[in-house]
Amino acid sequence: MKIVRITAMWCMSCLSMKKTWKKALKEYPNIDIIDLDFDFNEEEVKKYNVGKTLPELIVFNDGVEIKRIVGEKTLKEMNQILEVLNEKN
Amino acid sequence: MIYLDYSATTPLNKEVLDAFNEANLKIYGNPNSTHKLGILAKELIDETTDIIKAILNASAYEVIYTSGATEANNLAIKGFAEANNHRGKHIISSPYEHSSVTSCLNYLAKLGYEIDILGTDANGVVDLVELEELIREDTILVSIAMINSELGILQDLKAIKEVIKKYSHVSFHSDMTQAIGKINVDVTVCDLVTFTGHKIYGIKGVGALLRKESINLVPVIHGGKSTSVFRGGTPAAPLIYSLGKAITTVYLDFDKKSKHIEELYHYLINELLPDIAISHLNSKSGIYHIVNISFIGLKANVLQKALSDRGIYISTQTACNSDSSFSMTVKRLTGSDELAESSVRVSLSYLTKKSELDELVNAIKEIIHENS
Repeated sequence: MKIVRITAMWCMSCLSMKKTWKKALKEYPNIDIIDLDFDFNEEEVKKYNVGKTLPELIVFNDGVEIKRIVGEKTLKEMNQILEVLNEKN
Repeated sequence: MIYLDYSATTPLNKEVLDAFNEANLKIYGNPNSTHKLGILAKELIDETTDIIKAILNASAYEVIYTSGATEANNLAIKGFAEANNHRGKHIISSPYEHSSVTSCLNYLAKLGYEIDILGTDANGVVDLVELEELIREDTILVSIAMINSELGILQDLKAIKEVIKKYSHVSFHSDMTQAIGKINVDVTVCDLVTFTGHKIYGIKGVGALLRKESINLVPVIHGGKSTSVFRGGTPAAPLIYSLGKAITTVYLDFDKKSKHIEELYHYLINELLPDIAISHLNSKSGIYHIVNISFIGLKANVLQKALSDRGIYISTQTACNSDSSFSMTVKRLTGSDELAESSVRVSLSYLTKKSELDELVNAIKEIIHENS
């Protein structure tokens, strides 16, 4: 699995999610994380049709988009999402 | 033209401009020069510093002049972090900070600092119990804005200080950009305080960081001799002089100005807005200068443009989102997408007239009718 993680420097939700991501993703060392900055990687970000809210995590399996995780989530929510994705893929 | 965006910036006070022009034309020496004109420029800065310290009751602080609040916040947060990272790399902040604070914190997080964001009550006021729980041995800084620029949420800095002062290794910074010159403030509860000129009828391009003398920083801008070892560059004496003039004039007749704004606030929310069924006040406990309202069903950018076409200027806030109609700050406070995509900020001044609010509300009624 691969996750494209789109954030921005000015984004408070992106900042407050950092610790949650770190804890949740620790259990899944084989997930590739590709970080894109909303402003500094503008052209690349455009390809992903980002919605209203940051951060946006776009999950891919074998090159196919399978889920978008948008905005702030609790650690419990992140763990649940990752568990389901991991079981299915 | 009706200007109701005073929290974005304020019109320039003529007295401030005159002071700036006079200083530019007559006292143009480099304050670092040792000839008479340089000494006069240096004296102008020193006199201004004394005035600012007297007005803000900040005798125990250095006034570090900057290009504005963004630079002051960068120096306060990044400069403090770099100077104190041998003690720890943990910083605590609030979820209602200006993007110049958030960006510094995100930058530090990338460098390995650990940032905790406090939870709040339903009004956006930070949780003091959680603050105390989060403070650790490696916590070096708490940075919390006194007033949020979008919703007007007012934090109780004195109560925050009561918690922090139990921990001598923790310093306290507050971005008071939306507070100084708008309300009476007590800067002495903080170790570092940010403010800027253009929010108080001054010139854009000058601000300051108040630094308690015991606080160590690393400069963000390195350079030659200046008024402060913490900020390089030739001191902009005329701009600094204008900042002193701005802060002096903004606090003249202050009670009268504040009372006028309070009356305008109550007039707007109690007498005008109830006539618009789809209006919703997003923050009910903030300062009177900032009124954040959603007109449910009408996108914020549509309303803003239609008002702008009529010569009425208000703002939408777009921080932390990619859609100009969606406010993550309103979403955070209210939990509602509907309110977040239709929220606008009306910000008031002592210059605002009741009749301008009448015109605003009449225009909004017309725009709602046109869009229904």
